[in-house]
Amino acid sequence: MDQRFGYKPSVGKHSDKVYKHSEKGFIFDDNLIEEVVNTYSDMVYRIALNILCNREDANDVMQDVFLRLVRNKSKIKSKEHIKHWLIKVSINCSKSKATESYKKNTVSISEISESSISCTNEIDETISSVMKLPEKYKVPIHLYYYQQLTVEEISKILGITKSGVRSRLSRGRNMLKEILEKEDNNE
Amino acid sequence: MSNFDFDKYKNSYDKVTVSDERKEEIIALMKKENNSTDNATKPQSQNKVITFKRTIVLVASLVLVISAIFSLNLFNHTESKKKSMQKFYISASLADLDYKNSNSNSFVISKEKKMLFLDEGNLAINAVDNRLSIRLIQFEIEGKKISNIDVKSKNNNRIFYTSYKSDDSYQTNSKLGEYNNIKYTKNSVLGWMPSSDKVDKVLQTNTENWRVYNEYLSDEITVTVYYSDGVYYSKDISISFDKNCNYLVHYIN
Repeated sequence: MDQRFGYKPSVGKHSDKVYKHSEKGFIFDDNLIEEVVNTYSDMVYRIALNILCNREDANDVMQDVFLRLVRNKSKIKSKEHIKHWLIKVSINCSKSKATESYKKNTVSISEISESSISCTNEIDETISSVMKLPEKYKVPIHLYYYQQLTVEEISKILGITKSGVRSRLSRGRNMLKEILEKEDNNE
Repeated sequence: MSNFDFDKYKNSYDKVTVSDERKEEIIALMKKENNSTDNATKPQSQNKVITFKRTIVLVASLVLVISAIFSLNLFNHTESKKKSMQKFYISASLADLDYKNSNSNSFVISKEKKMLFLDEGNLAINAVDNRLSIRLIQFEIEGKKISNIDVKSKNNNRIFYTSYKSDDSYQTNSKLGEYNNIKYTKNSVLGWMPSSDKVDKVLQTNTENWRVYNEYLSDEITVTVYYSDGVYYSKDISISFDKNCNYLVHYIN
């Protein structure tokens, strides 16, 4: 059963303006910069937060992603491209940041469990359940259920097959059920 | 069993927003960066020369392409039509792992070191103890005007067919040896896995040696794709193991 919500992502209102620019061949001027940030900053931030579980790091990644967009503006070719480019780069930058943080902060297992608790405490319980999933499952879950991307779009962004995406969604959902059950039992 | 509330998830995430001040900061940084990259671009006169050169190259390429198409049509008119009809791609991946490959002749699919995981609805090799990692290999076929597909396993292994009605709803069937007359849709996926008797044999040897894997678990499968106009085309794929017991998938023709 398709459990996706019947809504359009909140980027709709602004995105029309962005599209007009793209039809003329992407003039990357100040107006476009403002529109892009206003349209997509929440999306980029949420993707980064989903992977990193840390608001400060997600903030850093968001800034990095938008600066990369300016540096790579010649690669942006179409209206669809800008959103997908941002999603892809947000995921990659967040992964790099996660690796970087991991290398910097080598701590004992007890410390890790404590820090993960404090990380999730400042974030809503429902969101933190998804954050507890391994990265390979939480990213497709977020893109599918929150960003409303299709399996085909996720497959292109993550560079895996469509069946791979479906399989991860399925396993991710099962893992979420297990997490909920454990939490229920603990209560 | 409790279900995750994705509506609640959506509502919670809607509340996670970037402050206006932060947006302004990023906009300012981007504008600064944009100006510095604009200043670094080449002067216009140079651009004109480049544009002229590009035009010449474009015209020359266009002439070459047109003459190539023309000559191909003259010498191979019917053949080219047939070939385009026969064009299809197979991507192989290990269920749930990051690997995708369409056209290379051979590639390795890394096995997962952890224990065997069976996708929902897929085959059960329940007798397996926790040492053997055998995973389903998935094949996605892409092509136009494909009507049916036959899949045959030379060594009588199990062939799977999963048909997705939606992204969440699917049905998996499997047959030993061969699976014929599979109705092709864009949302169908084929799969291969060694049969349980062969897995049992490997288990009896109590080893994870790649030679043993190859002796019992390697296979050659033939995928025959039928097009709506009656033309059909076959592709042979060999499945074996490398020294680390990873799957080696090789397209034979």
